[in-house]
Amino acid sequence: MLDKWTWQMANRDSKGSRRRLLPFLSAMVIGVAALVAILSFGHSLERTIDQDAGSLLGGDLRISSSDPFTPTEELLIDSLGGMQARRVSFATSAKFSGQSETRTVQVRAIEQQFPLYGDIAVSPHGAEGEMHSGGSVLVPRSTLSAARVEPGDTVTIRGRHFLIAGILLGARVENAIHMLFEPPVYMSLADLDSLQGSSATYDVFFRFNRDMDLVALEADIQKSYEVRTRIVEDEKEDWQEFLALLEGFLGVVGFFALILGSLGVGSVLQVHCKERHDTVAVMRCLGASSGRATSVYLVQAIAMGVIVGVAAGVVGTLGQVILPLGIVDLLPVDINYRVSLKGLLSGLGIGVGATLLFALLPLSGLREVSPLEALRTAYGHRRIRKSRLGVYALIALGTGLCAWAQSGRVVIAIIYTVAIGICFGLLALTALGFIKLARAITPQIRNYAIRQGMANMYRPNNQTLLMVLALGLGTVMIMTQVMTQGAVVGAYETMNFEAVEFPDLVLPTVSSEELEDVRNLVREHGLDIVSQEIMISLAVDSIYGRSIADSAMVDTAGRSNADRSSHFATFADARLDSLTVLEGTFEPEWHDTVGAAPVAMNSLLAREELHVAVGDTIVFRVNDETALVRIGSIFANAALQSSFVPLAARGIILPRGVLETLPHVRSIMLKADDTQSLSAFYGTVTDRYPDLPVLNVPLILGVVQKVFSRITYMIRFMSLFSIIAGIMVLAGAVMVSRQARVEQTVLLKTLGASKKQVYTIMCTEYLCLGFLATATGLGLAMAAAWAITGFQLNVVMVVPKVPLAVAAGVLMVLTLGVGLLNSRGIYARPPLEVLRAEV
Amino acid sequence: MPDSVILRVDRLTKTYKSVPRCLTVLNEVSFEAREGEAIAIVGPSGSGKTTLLGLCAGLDTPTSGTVELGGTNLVRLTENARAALHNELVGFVFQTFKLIPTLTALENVMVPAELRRNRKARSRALALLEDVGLGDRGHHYPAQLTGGEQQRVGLARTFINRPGILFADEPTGNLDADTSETIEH
Repeated sequence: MLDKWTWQMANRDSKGSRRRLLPFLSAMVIGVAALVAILSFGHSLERTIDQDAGSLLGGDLRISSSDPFTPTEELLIDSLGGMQARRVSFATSAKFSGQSETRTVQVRAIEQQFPLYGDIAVSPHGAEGEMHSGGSVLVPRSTLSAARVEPGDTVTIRGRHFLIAGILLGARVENAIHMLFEPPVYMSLADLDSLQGSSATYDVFFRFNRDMDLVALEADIQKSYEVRTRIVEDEKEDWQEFLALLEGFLGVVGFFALILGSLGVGSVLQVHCKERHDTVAVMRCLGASSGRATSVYLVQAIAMGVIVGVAAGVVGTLGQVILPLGIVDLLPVDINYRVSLKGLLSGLGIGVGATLLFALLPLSGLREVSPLEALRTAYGHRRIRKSRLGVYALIALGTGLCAWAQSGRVVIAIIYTVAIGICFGLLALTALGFIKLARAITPQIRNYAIRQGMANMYRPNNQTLLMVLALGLGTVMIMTQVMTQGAVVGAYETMNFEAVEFPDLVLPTVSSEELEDVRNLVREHGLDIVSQEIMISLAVDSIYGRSIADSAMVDTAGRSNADRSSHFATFADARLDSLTVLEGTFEPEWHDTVGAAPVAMNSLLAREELHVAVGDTIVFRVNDETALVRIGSIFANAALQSSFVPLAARGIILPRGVLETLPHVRSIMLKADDTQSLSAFYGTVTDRYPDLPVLNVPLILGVVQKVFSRITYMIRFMSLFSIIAGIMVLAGAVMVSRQARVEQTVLLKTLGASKKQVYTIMCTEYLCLGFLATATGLGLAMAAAWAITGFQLNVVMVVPKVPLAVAAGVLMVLTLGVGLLNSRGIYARPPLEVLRAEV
Repeated sequence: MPDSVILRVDRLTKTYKSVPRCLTVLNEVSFEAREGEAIAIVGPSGSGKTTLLGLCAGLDTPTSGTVELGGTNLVRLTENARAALHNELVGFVFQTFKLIPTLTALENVMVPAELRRNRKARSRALALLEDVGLGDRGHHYPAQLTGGEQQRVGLARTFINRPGILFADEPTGNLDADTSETIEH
């Protein structure tokens, strides 16, 4: 079928159309490039992580414990051999010389050979050696700047003064985000004995020969010892999970750009093929079968797909460097950017695949062209064949597969496909409804030019449906992103001390012995206690059957995957104002000493971690005691609330009455009128209780916002692809209707229409199209954003009125502007040239 | 039946289904055409001339009746076989010329021969353009030619495969009297 003649014809036939196809191809290139950029970046990062996983962990294997290793564990460590290095870490407050404020830091007491892979970058040269000689530390540059100190100054940690020997420039073994919360301060392991306090994490790192089976070794250790282990494979897995999440999220954004691009290519091919009906009819009269005639345009579509794929590969490969700019300093490695063959091939595959998929519909239309149309243009309407329904099904399937490939979830893929289908349907219905309305009201319009402009929307060969689909879908996608992003950003901004009153400090685990003294310190420093919830750390001992009646039958096999972890609980007298009960009845008090006490459980914990429902019973373990409880109610999880909202809103709420005797600590939240008293309290409490965690809320919120702003950059960068693709589609949609405008203008001019009248006609039409598409698109975008924010992100959607109005105005002006720009010079065209031309 | 019959039409009927009633355009039309014969079908607008031409050329299917072209019953042919028959046996001249607008005059003339994979398509097309007096206009697009020139290119295209039968649907309907006379000759 694809013989020499077909290729020759495809080439000859495309000569006059190439310039017109360009904007649509550009839109498609942008869409595919967005996906190639994500894939290439992911591939580059994955390869870099693969090469550097050892330096990220600091060795091949890490064994960790919250307590000093027992003699048995020490024997294990000795028996493992290989190169070894030890590290002890703990969070504590550090007071820098000349400063009244203290800062939370993560002390890393290390042996000289740590890390076993990679190195620690320091300045000046030799500072690391000085640190190992004792009495001095290495501190990150950001911490030194914030504390306004420099090497040569001192810092007090757990009661001992250290000299700052140098600047810690970087260490791959450190997690960049953790570093923002608790900057690491490196010291020699030999200095550890001179410090107060005991709470710490103890690590031993190992470096083995390459033939060591680390997975088997890790399994053996975990089977026999109560230590935590981590191997390079775990490090790789964690990064692969992160990458999958990142690719999935950004991929969905890229998917929108691809759909826009595909829509552009589909719409231009629709117009292109429609214009070729006559040619196909003639070809068929001259002896070409319908398949052979159609194959000419199939070849053109394939060529377009290849051009798109290759161009997108180049643009996407370059885009991978710009994409992660916002987060590059949060990554532990310097990404070794390379041309990703996988990315290029994917670009080519997606380019050709998507182009062909969206070309199927216009191509199927060409197959139905009868040779009789060469004799008689108005040969009657062709009925929609069953094959077209198959094409629609194929497009839906292709869209679904692409959404699945990007999101990695079948449900999401189905939702997106159905949502896009609904958008198409509603936009088409709106366009057809408007055509009907315009037909009804236009004859009553007195002004001639406006009447003509309106009439253009329903006349034969009008572009109303195509323009509304292209503009409307672009509007839906862009505005859904804007509104969803706005809601998420808004939720984080709300956290920024505006709607929610955050504490300044949180002491999450104040024991009963420490409580009175801490309260006294709070009073002495003039701070206010916002809340002091009782916190009980509950470990699941066993989950019984699904009803109280079965509770006597202990079924330890029914333990969920969360059975070893602990969950925080508090009592019902805590701040519960943000609690929304989803199921069951919330009971704040319970005095029955025989039955199981009814507790309220967070929906995320109940449904996704423990897999329990209202009525189920659980035995919790608290130190050496156990407590039998029943799920009395389930309350809504507030997904985007920070860790500083009452913990009750995130875990388990116990009724007052019978469980007060369980061992517990207090979570105390404090607010201060001024930073001096806050800082003074911080210093005193951390000096007196070096093991007591103290959270500096503003500092942590600042870091959260910093991290979030980096992620927002990536989302906005990806959105840019969609916006550019949308504008390309818009420009292209307007451009395909240029010939109709030219012919109409020339005829009107010949009949005596003035320039003003001609442009009024065009303005009326473009404004109507812009308004129609924008209004429908915004309506659909609001519905989509409401669904996404409400059901998927669990944040409150606030309609951003001003941005919405601006966007609507911009879209309408853009439609009008692009339309008029595309129509420039039309009035000046010599009528004879146009009237004689067939193209 | 003598061998010289190239077109045989027997009880040909064409009915268009339209609401509220069916419209019969041709009702049991029968005739024969022999090689070398010229038949003109005349009638007022809407009398079914183009419909009959389309059915005779196999461009449409009849409601009933048969059309034999070169001894082959068109009704029984597959689409591909009908396309091959067009290419071998049939030439068309259209009222509105129907040149492919994206191809040059020369490329337009070459199309039927190229479809047959005729390696001499180009030289034969050039010769035919010379014959119709357009030897120097081969690289021009249809939009750059006058109506008469376009129709002459159409004629050259029609004859490139040496058709056995020529169908012409008002071939001079869009031309002035002088040009019409040239075309007819």
